[in-house]
Amino acid sequence: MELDELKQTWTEQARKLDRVLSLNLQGLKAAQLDKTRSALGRFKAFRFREMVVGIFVLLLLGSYIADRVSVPTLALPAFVVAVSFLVPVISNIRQLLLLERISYADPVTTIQRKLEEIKLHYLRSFLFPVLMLPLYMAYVSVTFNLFFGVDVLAYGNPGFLWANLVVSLLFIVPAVWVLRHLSFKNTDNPVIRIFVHGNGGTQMVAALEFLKTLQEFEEEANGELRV
Amino acid sequence: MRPPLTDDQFSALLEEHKGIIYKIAHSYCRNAEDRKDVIQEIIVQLWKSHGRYEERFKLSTWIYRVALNVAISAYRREKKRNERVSPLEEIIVEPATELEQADPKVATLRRIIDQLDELNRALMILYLDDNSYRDIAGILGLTETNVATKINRLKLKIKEQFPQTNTD
Repeated sequence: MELDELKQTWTEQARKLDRVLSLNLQGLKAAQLDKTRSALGRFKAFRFREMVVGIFVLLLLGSYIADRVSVPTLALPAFVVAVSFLVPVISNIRQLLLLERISYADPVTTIQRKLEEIKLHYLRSFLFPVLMLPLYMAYVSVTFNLFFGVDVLAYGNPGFLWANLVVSLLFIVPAVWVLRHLSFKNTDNPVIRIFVHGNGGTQMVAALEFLKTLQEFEEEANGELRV
Repeated sequence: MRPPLTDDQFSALLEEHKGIIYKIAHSYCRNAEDRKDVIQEIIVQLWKSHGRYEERFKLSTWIYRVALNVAISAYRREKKRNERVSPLEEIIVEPATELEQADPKVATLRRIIDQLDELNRALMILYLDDNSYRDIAGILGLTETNVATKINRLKLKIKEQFPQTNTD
């Protein structure tokens, strides 16, 4: 079967459709207001809510640090926890700005790449807990102080603290490995797939794969010309 | 850039190009409800971006870009959702449309379009709609050479995969 035969069928079908088709233009006004139907709108709203919650937690942590600024074993872990909230807040603001600049009127490959990159940026934030694993004692310290009034770093059992330090150091290896290897060139790597599975990881692999497809779609012909 | 359109002007523009919107929505969505959503979202995006339309491009180029970008994004969301559906939901398939039932050629065409990935599907629609290689390149963001190579490859693929399809 020839593609040009299909063209004829397509044209005939288009002609028939044109006769029977009527767009409900009256619904246009309602559609403009109904932004929640748009996935991009939902995504933006979600990012905005996350940003507001993040800022709220940062304010609470700011107050916690201000109250304990003279006690480094309490203030420093809280500072680390605050940074772990600050990074997603900054990331959310960046994503919101990028989304604001998206214009669907740009070429398909450009927009699809931008959308996928924003999604990837968002999905990477799910990996943040993995990257924070070596610093998990900061969370333990803040939690113990908030709920039990204990300064675990200053008065904790030395054996317990040393053991946790060793575990923290061991966590550095997988955290750095994930950070270095997570790119669309490595989506076929089974270890990467296992590592990012869950917590948005599957979607991340799908996004990376689509970016790979996009790159191939754009470059395929050049590759063929070289042959 | 062009001055914002009035509601009437925008409605007239949609009426003139409704075929593009419908064909693209139809090519990416099998489910009638999803199709309605996509058409609505395309119209919303056209309305939101019409102030940014650059007159150096054809009006149809702008409409194709917006419609394809919206439809591809919706298709990818839908694909993800379908991967999560239960086996029971999977067997509920929408019946062929009246046009497909009435014309086997249309059904074949639909089958061919359905088996293409989202990007090659866009290329196919644009080619079938008789756009020039230059316009297709501008809409998709590719070079003309790349478009020509891809079209040739599509032609070969269709010839190989549907060698003796009887469409009469």
